[in-house]
Amino acid sequence: MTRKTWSTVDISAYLDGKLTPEVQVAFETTVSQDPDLQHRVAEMRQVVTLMRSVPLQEPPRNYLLTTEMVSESKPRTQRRRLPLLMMRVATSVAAAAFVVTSGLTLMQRGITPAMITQSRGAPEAAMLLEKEATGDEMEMLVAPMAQAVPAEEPAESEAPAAPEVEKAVERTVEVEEEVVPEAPAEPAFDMPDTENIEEPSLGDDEEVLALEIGMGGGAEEIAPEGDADSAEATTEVTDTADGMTAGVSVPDIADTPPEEAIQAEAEAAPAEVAAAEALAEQEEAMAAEAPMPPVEAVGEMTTGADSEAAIRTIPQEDHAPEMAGEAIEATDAAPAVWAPVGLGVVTAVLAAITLWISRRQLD
Amino acid sequence: MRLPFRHFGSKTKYSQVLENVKQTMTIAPKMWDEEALVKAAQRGQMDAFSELILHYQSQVFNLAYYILHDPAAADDATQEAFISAYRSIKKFRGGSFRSWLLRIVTNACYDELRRRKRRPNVSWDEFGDMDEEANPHLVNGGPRPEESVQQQELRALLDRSIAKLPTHHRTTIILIDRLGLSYEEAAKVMDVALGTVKSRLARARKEMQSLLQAERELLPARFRL
Repeated sequence: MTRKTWSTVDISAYLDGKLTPEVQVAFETTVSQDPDLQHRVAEMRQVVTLMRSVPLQEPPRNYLLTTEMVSESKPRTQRRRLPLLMMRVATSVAAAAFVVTSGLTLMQRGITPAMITQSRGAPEAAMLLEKEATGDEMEMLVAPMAQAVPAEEPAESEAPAAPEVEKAVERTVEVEEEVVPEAPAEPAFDMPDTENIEEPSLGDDEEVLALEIGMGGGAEEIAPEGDADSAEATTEVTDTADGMTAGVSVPDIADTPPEEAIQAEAEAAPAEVAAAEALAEQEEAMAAEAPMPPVEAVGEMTTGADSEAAIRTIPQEDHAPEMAGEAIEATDAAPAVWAPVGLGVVTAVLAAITLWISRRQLD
Repeated sequence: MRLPFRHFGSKTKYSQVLENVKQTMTIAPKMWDEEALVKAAQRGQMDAFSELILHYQSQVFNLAYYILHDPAAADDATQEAFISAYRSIKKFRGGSFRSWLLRIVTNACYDELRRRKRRPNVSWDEFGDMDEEANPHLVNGGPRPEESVQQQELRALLDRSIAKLPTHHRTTIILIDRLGLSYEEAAKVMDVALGTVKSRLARARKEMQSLLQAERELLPARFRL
């Protein structure tokens, strides 16, 4: 076998005895005849000898392992991840429960997504419906109502106003024959100046009723001038309350001159305004829970002149059955309302804790 | 054989001593049996793996030292390699345990080299203690006092030359010429073909020859041509 040149790989393999027997014989033959190849082999052999002659570095220490060194990594990681995993699961479960409970609560209250969507334009729509139903007179009366109702009030308290007007008319007819048992014990009216208040100067029935509705719908008794029936009714209320009750006492219109009444009214105006404001606040609170009373008052307006006095004598106790029913409903609805609220709070707390744990692990 | 009963209070105590001797003879291996030690280590016996560590730690450290050319980094890489080896020793399916172990440390060193490319400098916070014994950054990787001056110079020359080689060539020549591995073992360690090992080794030797010739005056007379 003849070869012209021998590569470095051949020389290196020859030094390590890695050439095949045939190649090794040929290589040795060439080396014996080629001084240059001999020099190359000698140089590389020196390198290999030098590399193998120098002893290895002594390691600076022993690398014996301990149980802690070997087993500290994985369990620690698992221990760290376990709380975070549990918190994530708990947060997810709480969030799911919150969504389900909220949906069930809305369904129990009869609120559908379509109603929620429609409720965004409900105040204006309710105004238009009431205008169509009651005419110009209703328009005057609904305006203060709409102002009294907060802007955030959901449409469920205003949208069904038109059909409830008819119910209110029927109730008004019944109210005419009812006997007022007792005057309301309102602290706001427990003022001596208001005992002599007479309101005959408000001859315009519409203005009176508008004021009445705006102030709370039926809590204050106002007797129009010259109406004997209503005067008797108001006198009866006052007698029942012994004339010194905390409720609004209506003076005997027939015995009180109009001029004195005007003066008394002028003197009592600031106190009356304060009482009206208190009633307005109370009415707002009532309207938030039960939209019926203002609508009733609106309906009473349409029943005629004879019923006006009786309507005005309706104390708050006349709403007692309705209020009691609402209270029962509120009592029943309380757990259903608080369940999603509580779950929402729990979900928020769990989410905050989960976020804190995850950030701590990242650090 | 007469048993020294008189040194013990009772026959029970003698039997206890005999049992202890048997246990000691069982624990202390009379001869190097790598396969048995590996199997024992696979069963979770830390003592057996410690025997393997003591036997191979010099080669593992030197491979790491020459690849990384940094005593502190080599120290860390060696420790990490043994920890990784112990955790994964159950995956070892036989063959050359040394090749398997050196492959682990080689990969650890390559990872360290890649990490150095991303973060080339050692921060002052990592530098830590100024005590030379406590701080591996301050450990002198040069020759030891007990070595002869000639040996020290030769080792330093060799280290400098090896450090100038490309990484794969450096690993190959260390495995075969410094640690004494066969071509086949080196191929397993580097996970390359046998022909690749041959060519890399030849080039590494040629490069080393050139590097050593450049500092020929520092070589002993017997290494000069």
